[in-house]
Amino acid sequence: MNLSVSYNWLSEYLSKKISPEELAKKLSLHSSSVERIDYQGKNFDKIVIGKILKIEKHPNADKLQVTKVDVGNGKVLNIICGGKNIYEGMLGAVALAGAKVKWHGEGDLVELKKTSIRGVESEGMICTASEIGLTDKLVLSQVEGAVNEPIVIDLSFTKAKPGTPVAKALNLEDAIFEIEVTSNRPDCMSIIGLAREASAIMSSKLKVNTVKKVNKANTVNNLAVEVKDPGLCPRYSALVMDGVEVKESPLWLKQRLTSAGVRPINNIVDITNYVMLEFGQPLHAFDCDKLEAENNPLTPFAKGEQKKRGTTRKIIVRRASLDEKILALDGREYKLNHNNLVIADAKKPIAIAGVMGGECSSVDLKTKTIVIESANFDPVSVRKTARQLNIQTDASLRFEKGLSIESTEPSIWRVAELVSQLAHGKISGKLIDKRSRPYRPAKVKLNLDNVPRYLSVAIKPEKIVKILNLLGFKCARAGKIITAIVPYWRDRDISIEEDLIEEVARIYGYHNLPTELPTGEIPVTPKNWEFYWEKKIKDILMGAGLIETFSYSFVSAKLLQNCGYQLVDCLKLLNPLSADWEYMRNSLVPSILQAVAENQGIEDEFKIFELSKIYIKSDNSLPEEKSRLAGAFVGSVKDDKLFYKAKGALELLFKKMGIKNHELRIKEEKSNLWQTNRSAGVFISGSAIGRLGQPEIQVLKNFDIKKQAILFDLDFDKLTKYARTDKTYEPIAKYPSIELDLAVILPVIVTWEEIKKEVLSIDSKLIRDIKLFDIFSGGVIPAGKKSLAFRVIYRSDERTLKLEEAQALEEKIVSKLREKWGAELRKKFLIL
Amino acid sequence: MDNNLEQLKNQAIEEIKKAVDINQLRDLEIKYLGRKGGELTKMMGQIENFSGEERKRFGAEANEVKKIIIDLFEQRKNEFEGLGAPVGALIDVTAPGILPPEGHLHMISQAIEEIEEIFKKIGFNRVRYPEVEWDWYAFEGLNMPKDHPARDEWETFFIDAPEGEKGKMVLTPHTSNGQLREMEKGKLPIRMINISKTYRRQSDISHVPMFHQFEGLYIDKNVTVSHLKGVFDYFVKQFFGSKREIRLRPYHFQFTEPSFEIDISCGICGGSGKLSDGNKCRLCKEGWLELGGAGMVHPNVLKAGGVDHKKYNGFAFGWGVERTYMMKAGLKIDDIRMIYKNDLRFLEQF
Repeated sequence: MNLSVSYNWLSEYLSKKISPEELAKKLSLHSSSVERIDYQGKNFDKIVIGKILKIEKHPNADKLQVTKVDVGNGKVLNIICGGKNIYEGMLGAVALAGAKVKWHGEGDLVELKKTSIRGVESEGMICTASEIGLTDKLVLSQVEGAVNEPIVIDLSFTKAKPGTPVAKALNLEDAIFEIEVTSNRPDCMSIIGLAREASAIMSSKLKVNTVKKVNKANTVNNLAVEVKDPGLCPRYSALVMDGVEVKESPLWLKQRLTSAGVRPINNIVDITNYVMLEFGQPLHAFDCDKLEAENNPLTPFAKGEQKKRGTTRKIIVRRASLDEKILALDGREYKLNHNNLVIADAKKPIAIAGVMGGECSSVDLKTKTIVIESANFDPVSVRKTARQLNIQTDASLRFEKGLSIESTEPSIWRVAELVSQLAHGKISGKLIDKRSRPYRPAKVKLNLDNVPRYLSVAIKPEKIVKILNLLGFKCARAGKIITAIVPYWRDRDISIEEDLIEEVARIYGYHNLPTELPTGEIPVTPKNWEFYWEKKIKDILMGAGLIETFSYSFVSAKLLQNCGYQLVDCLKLLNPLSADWEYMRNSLVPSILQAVAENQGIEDEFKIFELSKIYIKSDNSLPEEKSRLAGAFVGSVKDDKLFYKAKGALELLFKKMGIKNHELRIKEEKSNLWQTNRSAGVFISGSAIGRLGQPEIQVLKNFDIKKQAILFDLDFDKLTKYARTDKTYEPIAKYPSIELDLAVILPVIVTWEEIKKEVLSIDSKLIRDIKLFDIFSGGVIPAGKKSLAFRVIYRSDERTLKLEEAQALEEKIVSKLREKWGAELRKKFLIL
Repeated sequence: MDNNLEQLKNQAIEEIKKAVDINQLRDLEIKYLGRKGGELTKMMGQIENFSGEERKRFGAEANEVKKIIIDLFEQRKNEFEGLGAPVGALIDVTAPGILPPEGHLHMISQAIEEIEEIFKKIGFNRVRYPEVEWDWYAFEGLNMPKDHPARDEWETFFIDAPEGEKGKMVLTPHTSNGQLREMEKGKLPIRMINISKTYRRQSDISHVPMFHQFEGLYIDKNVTVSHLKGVFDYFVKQFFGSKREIRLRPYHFQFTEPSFEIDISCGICGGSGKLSDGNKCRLCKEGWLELGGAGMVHPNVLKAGGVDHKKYNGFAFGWGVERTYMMKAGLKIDDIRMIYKNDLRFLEQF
C-alpha cells in the first residue's frame, strides 16, 4: 500500500534534524521504500510576508498608491501598489527584488527588479494570488475574493511575522513522500510508526506526547455497547462526548489531511481521520442522537439518570442478516449478508464494520453528542467484505492487514483530546471497552549465535539490544539468549527468531554486511538432456531460417474447435481473463495456425516454430505436461516444393541430432486436422513421433488462411529419445566415385523410397548412393505419371572404377525400373 | 626478350582470353603447356641452343612467360567455375550481401539461455517443475495459509478440477513452487535455478497473463545474507555489466525472512540519479532500479520441504525473465503484451 506522508508532519516526531532527501534514503534502505518525493512551495523564493505600515496616494497616478511595507529584519520598503483592497496593518505577499512573478498573473515568470514607476521608486511588489502562482485551494479558501484581480491576497489570517517566507507562513514548504508500506507493517501506515522507524535508524529518540486518559467516573453514559460476535470484533472501545461544536477544521488540520490525500469534511470527521493517519488506527464518529435506543435497556443506570438523560442509545456489533441494507457515506446503498459484520443500533446497521460508516448516523453540523469508535476487527472478515462490496477505504486497507487489539485505546484518547481542543466537546462517562480476551505480549528469544549464522558478522549484543529497544521491544539478556517482548503494534508480525534477526539486520544496514560468493560444496547433478536438446533444436531450426514463436498456454474454445479438437479433452480454467484464454492447450497447432493467420498479410513466405509444453488432462491428478515441437512453412499456394522444404528442415534437424532411420509414411488413419493425401506420419526407427503436411481445407478456412501452410507437429520426448551426440566416423574414400544422372518417367504412385531401395539393391557394393534432385508432373509428362531426376553415385573401395563399369550398372538400373514399373528413360547425362 | 618467346606469349594470352568455355581452355592448356607437344614446352627445349649468359637469360625469360600463362589459365578457370570475376572488373563492395536464411530465437529463449549459463558457472543447476500445480506447492507450503492476505498479491488462475489432497489446482503464479518440489527430492545441499512459465490474472500494457520467472534456491549449512549479496553481485555484473552495483532494501514476503528487494545501480546515470547535464535521470529512482525480490528461506518453508531448519538454511529469489531482460537491453517495449503476439515484425528484431 502506498502512503502520502508529509515530511513536516513526520519531522515533528523526530528529535534529530534531517533533510527530506536523507530521510527518504534512510527509510528506503532500512525500512519502507520512499518511491517519490514531491516538493511543495518551491516557487515562492524571495516572496515574504510584509506588513503594510502606511498608504499614500501616488503623486503622478490616480490608480496607484505608495506604501511603506515592513519586510522583517527592520527593513521597510517603498512599494507602489495598485491593489484596491489594501489597508494599513494588512499582511500581504511581498515579492522582493530577484523574485519570480507573473505580471497580472499572465505569461511567463519574470524576475522582479527595483524600478521607478512614474517617478516614484518601487522596491518590490505586493502580489495577487495568481502573480505568485498560489493555487493551493485550501489557502485560497481562507481568503475572500482571493482569486479576483486586482485584489492582492490578504494573508493577515496567518498572523505571521513580517519577513517570514510565504511558503512557510502558509505551511506550503513541505516535501510529500510517497511511501510503499508492505502488508506486514500496518504499524508503518502511520506517521508515528514511520517516525519510530526513522528514529531507530538515526539512533535517536522518538518524540511522542503521551495522551491523557480522562475518565469521567462521575458522569454516566447514555450508551450501551454489545459485541455479539467477538470472533470478528475482538475489541470495541467507545467514548461519548457531548457539547461538540461541529464546524470546518482549521487550515493546519485540513492541510495535514490533504497532504495524505484525505478530503476534509468537518472538524469531528477530520479529527478521526487525523488520528488514523497519526496512529494507524481507524476511528469513526457517530452522531449519538441519531442512534435508536432499545426499548428495554440491558445496562442498569444510576438513580434518576435515565429520566434526566432520556433513553439509552445502543451499539450492537453483529453479523448482518441476509439482504439487510445500508446507505453508506459514499451515498450508495449496499446489500449485506451474514458474512458481513456491521455496527448497528437497536434497529438497523449504522456502519459496515471496518469499512465505511452509514449515512443515517453521520456527524453533521447539527450534531451535539458524538460516539467515538475505536475498534479492532478481524482482518479476513474486513478484507472479504470490502472485496464483496467493492469498497476500499483508508480504514479497510488498514484493518485487513491486521491491527493489534491494543491500539484502540491510545488513539481514542487522542481523538478526545483534539475534540475538546477544536470542537469544545466534553467527555461524558467512562470509556466503554469490550474486549474478548486479555492481552499478553508475545516474547521471542534470540540466540546470539544465530546472528552470524544469518548475517556472516557478529553484531555486539549491546548494539542488538539497542536496536530492538529503539523499535519498541523490551529486552532481557541471559548469556547468549536475548528475550524480547514484542511491542503491541508488531504483535502480528514478530513471532520467530528470524523476525528479530531481520529487525536487527535492517537497522544495522544490509549495506554494512559483507558480499561474498558461497564456498560450500557444489552439488553434482546428472546432465539434463531435455534442456540440452531443447536448446539444440531451437538453434538448429533458427539456423535453418525458422523464427521461434511463443504463445500463451491457454487458448479459446474456438481455436481448439477450429482444429477439430474436443473441448472435453482440455483442461479448463475456472476464472479465465477472457474467452480467448479459457482452455489449457493440448496441442501447439492452434497457436501455430493462429500465428500463420495473423502474419499471412505481413510476409509472403515465412517459417515458424514453437517448442513448448502442452497439457494432457488426467483424472484426479495434475495434467501431464509434455513438450511438443510444432511449426509451419508458409508460402504461395503455387509453391509445389513447400512440402519438401519443410521436410528438408526436419531432415536437417534429424541429421544434426544424430537421428538415423527416419522416414515419412502416408498415414491411413483419419484425422480432422490433416489431409490424408497430403500429409505423412513421421517415423523414427519404426516408431511414430508426429506428423507433417497440409491441414484439412476446412481447418484452413476456419482460420481464414489463404496461403499454403505445411505444418509439423512432433513429440519432443520421442524425438529426443532417438537423438545421439556420439558420432561415427567412416574413413574418407580412397578411390574416386563416378556420378551419373538419370531422368525417368514413372507412375505417380511409385514412391521415391521404393525406387531408392530397388536401385541400391542392384549392387550394394558399387552403387553407393542415390539422390533425388527433381520431381515434377504435368506439362509434357502424361497424366498419372511423374518425372524423377536423380543422381547415382558409383564407387569401389578397392580400385578406381571405370566409366564403362558405371555405365553398365546404369543400364541395369534402367532395365530394372522398366521391368518393375514400366519406367521410361527421359535423359541420361554425365556429370563432370 | 627473345622474339619467338615474346610472340608465343602474346599469342597464348590472346587465345586464352578468347576461350569461351572450360573445354576450350583445357585444349589450350594442352596446346601450350602439354608435356609432349606443348608449344611453350617445345620452346623451352630450345634452351639447349644457348650457352653462358644467354642461356641464363633465356631460361629466366621462358620461366617468366610460363608463370604468366599458368596464372592466366588459373584465373580463367576460376572464372568458368564461378570462382572469380573477369579480370579487373570492379566489385561494388557497398551493394548488399546475399543473406543465408535468417532465423530468429524468441527474446525469451535468448534471455533464458543467458540466465541459465550465468548461474551454471556457480553450480546452480537448471530445473523445471509443473506449471499446473497444487495449491500446497504454490501457496500453503510457502507459509501462506488459506485466507492469508498475502495471497491477494497473486491474482491466481484456478483450474476447473476437483480439489486434491494438496488443495486446489492452480496455474502457478510464481516459480517458488519449485522450492518445495526441489526440497522434496531430499538431496542437500541445493543450488537450483528453476525457469518456467508463470501465470497471473492481469493483462495490460505492463502485465501479461503468462510470463516467465527464474527462481534461485540455495540451501546449505550456514547460508548468510552475505552469500545472497555475493550471488546477486555476481549475476548483476555478468548480466548487466561489470560496473553495476546492487543494494538490498527491506521488504516482505511470506516465504522468506528476512526479505529484501534488490536494486541495481542505474546504467544511464551510473547510480548518481543525475545526468551529466545536471538534470534528473528519468529512468531510475535516485540512481537505482528495482530488480526483484529475494530473502532467506522462511523456517516454515524449510519444514514444509522436509529440510531440518536447525541445520540448514538458505536463500531464494524469483524474478521475471521479461522484466530483467528488458532492463538489460534497455528495450522500450511500450506494450509488454507484444512479446506474446507473435508478430513477425517484432520477432525478427531479436
